[in-house]
Amino acid sequence: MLCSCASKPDPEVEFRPLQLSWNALSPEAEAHPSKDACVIKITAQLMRESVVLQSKKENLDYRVSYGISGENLEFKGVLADDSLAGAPEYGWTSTCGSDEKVVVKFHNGL
Amino acid sequence: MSRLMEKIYALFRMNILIFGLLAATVIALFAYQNGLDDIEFLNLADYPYVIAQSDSIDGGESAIALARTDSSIIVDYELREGYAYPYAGVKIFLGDGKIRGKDLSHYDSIFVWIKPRGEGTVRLYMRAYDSTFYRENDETSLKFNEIEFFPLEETYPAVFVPQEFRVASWWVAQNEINVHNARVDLSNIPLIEIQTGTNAPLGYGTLEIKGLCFKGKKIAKVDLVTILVALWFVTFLIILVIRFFDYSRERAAARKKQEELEKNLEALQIEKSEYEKSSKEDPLTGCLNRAGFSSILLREQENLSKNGSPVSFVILDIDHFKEVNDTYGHNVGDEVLVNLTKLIQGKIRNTDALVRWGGEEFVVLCGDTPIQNAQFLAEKLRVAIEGTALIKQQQVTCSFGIAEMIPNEDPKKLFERADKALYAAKQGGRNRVVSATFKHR
Repeated sequence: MLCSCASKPDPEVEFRPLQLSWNALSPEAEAHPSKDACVIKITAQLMRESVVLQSKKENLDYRVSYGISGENLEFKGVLADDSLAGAPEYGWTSTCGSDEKVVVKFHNGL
Repeated sequence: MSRLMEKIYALFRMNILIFGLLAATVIALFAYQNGLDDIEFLNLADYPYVIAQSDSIDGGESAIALARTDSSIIVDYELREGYAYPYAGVKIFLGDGKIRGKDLSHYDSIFVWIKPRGEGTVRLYMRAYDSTFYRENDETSLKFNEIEFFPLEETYPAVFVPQEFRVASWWVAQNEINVHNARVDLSNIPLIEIQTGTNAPLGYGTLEIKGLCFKGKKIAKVDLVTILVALWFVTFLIILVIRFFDYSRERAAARKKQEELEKNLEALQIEKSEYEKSSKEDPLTGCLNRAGFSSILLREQENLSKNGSPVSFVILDIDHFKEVNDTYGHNVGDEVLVNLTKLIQGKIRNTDALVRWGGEEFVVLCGDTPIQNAQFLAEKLRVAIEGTALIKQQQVTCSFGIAEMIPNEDPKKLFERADKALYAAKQGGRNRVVSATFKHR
């Protein structure tokens, strides 16, 4: 009992590998001033998304392409594994600008 | 034994002046006691400047005759009434007999060989020249330093010390001299008078005077003591100066030694810190090794548990590194490792720690960095590596695995998680970044 009081048990958390491959559709998109911040925001958002967290797939490998949309950047992510085409986590889109809050929308593979 | 001799020699050398002066003092005192005598004998038998004189020059009736023998002078006299104080005696002139006489002040004792053939006392006058009272061609203006005594056979010769002389009170009164100025003075005596005394009876009498002797030391006792005291004082002054310079020299030497010691200490501390540094550094790439990583990991764990500051662990592995080694040799492999280190060092923050994890594996520990930022950094590194020719022979790429530290978690689990992500990156085709994200059960 003393031992159990003295040392805290390690948290029991499970993790999955998440891979994101980023591809710019144009040089302008690559040079967009908000690109780096957007990539970080979207990565953070994706890591928190319930569809990602609840995915039955062990490894999620998204190919993310992004291009200019007006003054913003538009990101589109699709899983590399086509066998999950019908799964809710298969694809998502997100628009990211300088001030906007980033929202990642999953499209249920459609 | 030799050490004892050395100590004695050192003591002697240090105090050589004192020893020398001590010896000189003893010798001087011994010489003073047993020598250095200054004796002047005035033998009246062959001294030419002696005349007989009675009270007839003062209007008296006394008669006198002077005769010389081989060893003395004989003064025959007859004291008669006619003068208030009848007297007869001799005058002995010294020097010029007027103003330049003889200095008798440094003699300690005066011997007088005188034999009276009659009753009564004898007066001895040491007539002193003093410019204050002296009147030209007036012998009476010479100061009367007098002593009156009974010349007895038992005390032959009669011996006096200068302190026994008194200035004649009648002379002081006659010349109206302030009593403070009428002190005995034997420094310039041009005339000595030996006369019959106050109570000498009238009638015939004879004085047989052999002479006078003045005895003293060539140097006065006071002068000797003064010289010795002065010598001791100067010696101690010299010793003090020598000691002061010795002390200054020793102090300078000690300071120099201390500076040398401080320099040595500084060098040792530098050496120590270099050793410590080298023990925590990878010798090939210069980045931290696992020993160096431990302390940084502890610091970041504390930051996380105390401040909630996120910590990310990025592990990267060079793709197909074994092939590079096998194909081009270990030197080229080492070149890859060194160039890769330089490239990564140029891209990460000062607060991030680059560690050679082992072989071709590296770790970047990013303090105050959430996983998404670590992923972004890893992606930047991946692209940079992909776009850089680390060696000319072939393109080199890296795979990345990222994990974020959980508070109070065993670091091994963090490493395992990052390792799994790296494995996934390798399995996914290499040259990619994989993060270990949460998974709901």
